[in-house]
Amino acid sequence: MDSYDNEWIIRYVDGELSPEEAGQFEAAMRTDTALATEVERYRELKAVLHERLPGDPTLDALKQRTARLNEQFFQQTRIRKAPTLRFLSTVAAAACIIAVIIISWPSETTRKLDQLGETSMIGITERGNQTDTLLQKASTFFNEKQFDKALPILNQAVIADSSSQLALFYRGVAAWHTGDLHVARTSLRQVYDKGSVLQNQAAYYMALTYAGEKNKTLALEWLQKIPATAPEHVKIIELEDFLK
Amino acid sequence: MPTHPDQRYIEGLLYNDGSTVDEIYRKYAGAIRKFIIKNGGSGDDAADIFQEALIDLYNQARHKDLQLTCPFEAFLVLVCKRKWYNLQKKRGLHRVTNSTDEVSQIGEDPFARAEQLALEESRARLFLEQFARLGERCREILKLSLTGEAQEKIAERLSVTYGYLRKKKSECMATLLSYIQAQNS
Repeated sequence: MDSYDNEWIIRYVDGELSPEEAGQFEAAMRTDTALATEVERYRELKAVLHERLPGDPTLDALKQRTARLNEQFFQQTRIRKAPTLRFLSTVAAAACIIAVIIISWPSETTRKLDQLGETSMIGITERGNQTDTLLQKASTFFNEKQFDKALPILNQAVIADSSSQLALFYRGVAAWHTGDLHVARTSLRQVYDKGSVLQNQAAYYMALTYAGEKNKTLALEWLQKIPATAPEHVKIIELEDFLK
Repeated sequence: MPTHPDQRYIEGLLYNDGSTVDEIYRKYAGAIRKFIIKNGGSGDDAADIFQEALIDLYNQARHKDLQLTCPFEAFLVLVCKRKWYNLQKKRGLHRVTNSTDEVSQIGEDPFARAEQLALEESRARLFLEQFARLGERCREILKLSLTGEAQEKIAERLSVTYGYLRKKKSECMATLLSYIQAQNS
């Protein structure tokens, strides 16, 4: 492509060369594959710009629709505060505490389960009622991986408000970490049965309680309760692979 | 080869039909998410790939009269896989393809069409990205020049001479071509 630059290519495709110049250009194209490739590229560029530069309201609307659906089907677990709903407000508190729990269990299996059972809670929005105060207190121990200390406080929180899905859920998780599988499963089962936004997470931890006992059938059964579109899928796939 | 009954999904995208697009997400988003995550991607990667694939299908239906000759799911999965492999390649990551299996599952024709679609849409995206890098005046001149309106009228509208418009248009296109060539080198 030494003898012809982009301006020549443009003038050729746009029909602005004299017949003589066009003939010479075509002769060069027959022996210069790079030149022929660039001519094709320019033709494609023109076609794309011609098709797509004018506005397309249907495409814009489709982009908006798919962006909304992406939020719905692909978003990661994000729990937001909704002040008018007590339940959602409590869930928002869960979004605000973070604790990464890593326990040094002896075997590879338990280490893997521990990794899969890492629980993140980010901060807490305190509203001042008794359950939230207890949750705040429990979160301190929870964050320090002192589940044996967090568990009795979470018990109190459940007694103070037996409908608190957040208290039940974290009691289940803390109990699982301390090895109290009965309390863990009872709490998580209640959360699951309630059908709240924590339902899938409860099912996931139920699966973990069975995975720890090497009860593959029940673990997989619980995982199957979680819809394929649930945001927990990253860990679900890992746990499924691990179990299989 | 006859058009597959699943062409209705393509039509649904083409006309932005709410119930069809919802159905596509309900039926296929989970599988694509699973594939991307299993192959080293994140949930966000999966969301981007899925959405882009649907937009690519729309563009191909709109501008290239895309006709499905295999089930929609198989074609969508192929397009998403191709896009994912290309993205991994761009990120400098190793990729593993299973082309032989895919060809045997859905046939050579749809496989080749999906490959072609991914390539064409990737190039179109590059062209538009590079176009956006041009100065405002260049973008305006090229936009107007490609409408098919007489060049003399465009020159008048832009308050420039016809000769200037031709020269400027050629310069802007040459710059755009050089941007694109630089991306491909």
